[in-house]
Amino acid sequence: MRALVNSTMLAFVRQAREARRDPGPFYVLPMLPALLMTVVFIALFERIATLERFGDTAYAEFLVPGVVALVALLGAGATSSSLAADLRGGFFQRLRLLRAPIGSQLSGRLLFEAVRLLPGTAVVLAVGLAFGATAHNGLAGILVVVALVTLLGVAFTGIFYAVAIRTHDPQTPFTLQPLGLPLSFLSTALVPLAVMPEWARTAAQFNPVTVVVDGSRQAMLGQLWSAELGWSVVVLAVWTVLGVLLAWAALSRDIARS
Amino acid sequence: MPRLRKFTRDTGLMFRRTAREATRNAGLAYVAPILLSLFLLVLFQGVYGGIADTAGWPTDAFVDWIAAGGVFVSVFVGAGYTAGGLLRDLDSGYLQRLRLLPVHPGAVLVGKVAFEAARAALVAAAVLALALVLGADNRAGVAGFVLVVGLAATFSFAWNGIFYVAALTARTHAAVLGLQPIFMPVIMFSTFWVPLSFMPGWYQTVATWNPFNPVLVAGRSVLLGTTVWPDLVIAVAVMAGLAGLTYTLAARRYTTLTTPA
Repeated sequence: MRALVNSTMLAFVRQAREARRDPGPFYVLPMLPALLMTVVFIALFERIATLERFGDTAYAEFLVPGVVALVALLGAGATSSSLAADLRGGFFQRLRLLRAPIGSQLSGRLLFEAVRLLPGTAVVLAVGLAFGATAHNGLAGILVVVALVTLLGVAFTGIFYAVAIRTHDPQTPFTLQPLGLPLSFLSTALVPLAVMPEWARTAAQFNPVTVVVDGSRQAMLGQLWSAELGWSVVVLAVWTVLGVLLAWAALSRDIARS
Repeated sequence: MPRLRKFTRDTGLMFRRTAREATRNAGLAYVAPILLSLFLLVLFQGVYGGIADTAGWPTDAFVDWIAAGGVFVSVFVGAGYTAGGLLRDLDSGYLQRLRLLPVHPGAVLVGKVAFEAARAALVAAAVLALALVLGADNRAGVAGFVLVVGLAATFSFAWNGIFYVAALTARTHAAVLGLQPIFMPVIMFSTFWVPLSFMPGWYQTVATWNPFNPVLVAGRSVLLGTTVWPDLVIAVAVMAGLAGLTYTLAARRYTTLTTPA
């Protein structure tokens, strides 16, 4: 167990060093779409909140706890590129000679994946608050939202790892990035279900992002500890386990083949 | 053979060569721009379609407002395709080999640019047809359809000038790819999603002075049957200005690269 923890930390530090050499794709790019959408959508679509079926929340208040999830969804998988590069370059073969726990290469990267989303999430929340959002539960509510976004990033990364492992190509996982668009748009991240047409409402109801965003919105605007928050933690835990299992299965197959 | 006829024939050959190449790479040349534009139309209609029910919204449905924008998005998304091809021709020595033949080097550039406009017209027609299927209005009928597709093709010709200048100046594919995202602020800070009256003051100012906005307004007004002629004239002037500037620079750079030292 201690070997796994040490190895995980080594993989984390190695990934963090790589990110320090090229911070753009790891820290800056993930937050740009969410940041732009925060500013632009508040300015352009605030009148949608005047619809009776929207509810009595101002649009900026409604949008920010949802749009911040886009930091995780549209900037996902940055560490999958180095995973593919390591597999292609024979790094994993060398690790096997050292009897290092191979799983730590996934856990260390996943941990870094959570940490790298922190600055972007903080910036989007700060800009959102400056543009009219509110945090009824103060700093505690904001911290819960930050935690949910980072966990969402970890959960969503599993599929990127599986593709990186199968292809050994650092570019291929990025072709999955547009997946974040329907996941975020067809959820309650931008508008409530009541405003959507029937087909979009049905899609949003079955979208796990809706559960996560509803938990985030409750933490910021409603009760800090709510049933919505509990469900979002359950959904994220299941999603993360499935993602890790998918990646681990791909890695085991890859190692068995080589 | 008179020189003009020979130049036209060579240009046609280059056009067909580029078209064949695009057919082999149909995913990037045709499918991706159509799908991305359609994706945008469907998602925004699903999420923000309700805004058309608010007081003061100028059209019957949200899709009526964004359909023209979706057509222009297909131009933006596919931009730089033939500029990248020209770079490959430079890198592979194809243009050097052409110098051994009695072919005017300008025919390569003109053939590629002409194909870029033709490709944009095909993609724009497909996106507009899909927008109509989604319920968008086209009160000007076939003439309106043709005019909007023509606007999109002309805009593609002008917009791609930027990519040709970048490709011929930097001579790297990264420079061409790196220019792709500049369309995002261009459409975001225009009347792409909502009319000026729905924007805060600072946003209205930016959108009004955005040179792309008259092109968008002109295209939309054609579809809504309320053709705004002054905007159409401004749109043509903007496109002519952009094309004049960028293709002058590109042609100068191209001549330097293809003329023996």
